[in-house]
Amino acid sequence: MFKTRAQRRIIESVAVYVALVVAGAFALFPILWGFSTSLKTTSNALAFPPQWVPQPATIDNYSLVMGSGLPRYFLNSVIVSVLTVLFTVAVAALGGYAAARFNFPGKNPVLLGILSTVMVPGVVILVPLYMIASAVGIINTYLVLILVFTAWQSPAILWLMRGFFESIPRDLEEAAQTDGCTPLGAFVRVILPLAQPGLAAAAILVFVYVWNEFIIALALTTSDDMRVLPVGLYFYVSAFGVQWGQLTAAITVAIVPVIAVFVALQRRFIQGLTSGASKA
Amino acid sequence: MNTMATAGGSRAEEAPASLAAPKRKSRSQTRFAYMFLAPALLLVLLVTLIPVAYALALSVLNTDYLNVVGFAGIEQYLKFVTDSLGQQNVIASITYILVSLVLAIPLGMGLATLLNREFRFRTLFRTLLILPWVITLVATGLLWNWLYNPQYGPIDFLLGHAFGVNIDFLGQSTWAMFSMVVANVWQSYPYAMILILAGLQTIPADLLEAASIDGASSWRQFLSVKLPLLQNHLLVVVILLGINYFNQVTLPLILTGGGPLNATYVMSLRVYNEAFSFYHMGFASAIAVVMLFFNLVFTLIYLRVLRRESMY
Repeated sequence: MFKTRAQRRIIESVAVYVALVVAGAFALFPILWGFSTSLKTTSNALAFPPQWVPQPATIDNYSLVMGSGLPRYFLNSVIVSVLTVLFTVAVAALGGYAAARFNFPGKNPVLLGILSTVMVPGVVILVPLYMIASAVGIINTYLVLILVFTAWQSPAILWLMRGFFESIPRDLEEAAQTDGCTPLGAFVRVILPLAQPGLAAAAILVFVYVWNEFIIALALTTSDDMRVLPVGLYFYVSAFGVQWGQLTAAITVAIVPVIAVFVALQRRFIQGLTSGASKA
Repeated sequence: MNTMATAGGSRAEEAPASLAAPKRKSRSQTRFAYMFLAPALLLVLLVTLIPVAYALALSVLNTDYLNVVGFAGIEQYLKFVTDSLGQQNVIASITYILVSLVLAIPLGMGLATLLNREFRFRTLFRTLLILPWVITLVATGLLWNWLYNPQYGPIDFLLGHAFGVNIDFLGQSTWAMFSMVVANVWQSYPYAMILILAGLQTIPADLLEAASIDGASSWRQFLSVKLPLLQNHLLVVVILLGINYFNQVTLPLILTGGGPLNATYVMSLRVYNEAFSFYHMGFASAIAVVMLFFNLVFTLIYLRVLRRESMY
């Protein structure tokens, strides 16, 4: 039917665009439907047939959720994820550097021991973590969340960083050490600045995972004022019956920051996802 | 990902070049190495290794709320494998993993193949298509709950319009599992897509050129060149996603709570419920240890595949 090569090529590229538009619609539709609901009045949220575009559009749902616990959950999420990112990147950069550069007795068992914890899923250690945190008296604190999330992310990120450090030529810090730098000094002054792309990839990976994590945060926090966003969203359902307008407004507030960070730094994000043993 | 395969790689090529002061140098290296690794070691010890040991211990103990009240031996394991709910949990987990994979892998593969071409707006499409992966599973569950709403939801509206049917997606045991899988695939196919895209980009262009000169169509190139080369890579993606699906609590908890009639009551949700709804800490730990065992098995397979892959 399509004899010439040119004809075939046009048909093919039209088909590619059609497939991509359909897939893109599938990816976006749930998010857009939620956003649309968040701008509707209470009665229009339950209109049938459904209203695709809110008429009239209102920000009432946003004012309502901003007057609820949401700002607090948001603050908690920011505190926990930013501190976890800082600690994880520091811990993993130090360890990754040692793994990339130093030879020492016990190296392989130690590194494998750290890395093997990547395969322990949250659900398996949920009960012990809850019991230990209760016994030690740190349940329901920022400390326990940051500690657990940092330990959860560090091994995989350590591996990622090791790869980045190995790609940096070794003579640089050897020169620095000849000039009288200690290994720590060479690491901080020479290597870290060069490893910035790797640090950025690590940071965004950790941020996305921690911002979105739910089940550990749910188990380890017990009071409303310590909830992070995903946990807060979960309790909205029971607190409001289901007020879909308000709930979708809260969801929108919760997902916008992570979408913004992802769009801004997506090259690094993809680089991190594909180059390391990331923990899904 | 190949970095992991060389985890235990030898460093023979880095033997000290000068023999003058190797001992002093290596001793200070050892000290610095352990200093640098200490924070990571301490964290995984406190937050992962000790809790794993604790879970193993709890799984053979009888507990009452947070207190240990006796020794249970393998009683709790037996209880899980012999009771009919335990069997339902296992079947639900297997169904959830397999059906999700059957949908997510081809979808990720297809979209990765499209994104691997040169066309305008490629970055834009890539961004849009990855987006669901950065949405928290809580929001995913709530948004799909709203989409599936049998009274006001858009999916039932469209189905009613087109076919005159109304389906209670999450309320009927025949539909609930499939509906949960669709929400799961929506959130997770981008992961498969990104990893497969990275794999496709490693295929040497001259191989495809040669195939093209020999008159192979795009489809033929896909089947005869890309698929065989990506075989191991795909297996890695299947294992990573499968492990992720197996350990997930969030989506079942939010979308269905395990129901209706336990149709979606997966193992991970059972662990969560036994622990935090019923406070059966010992029993929950026994199921968790069974899950850990399967994680171990799949991780070992994963490492094997990686080792094989790094050779081609």
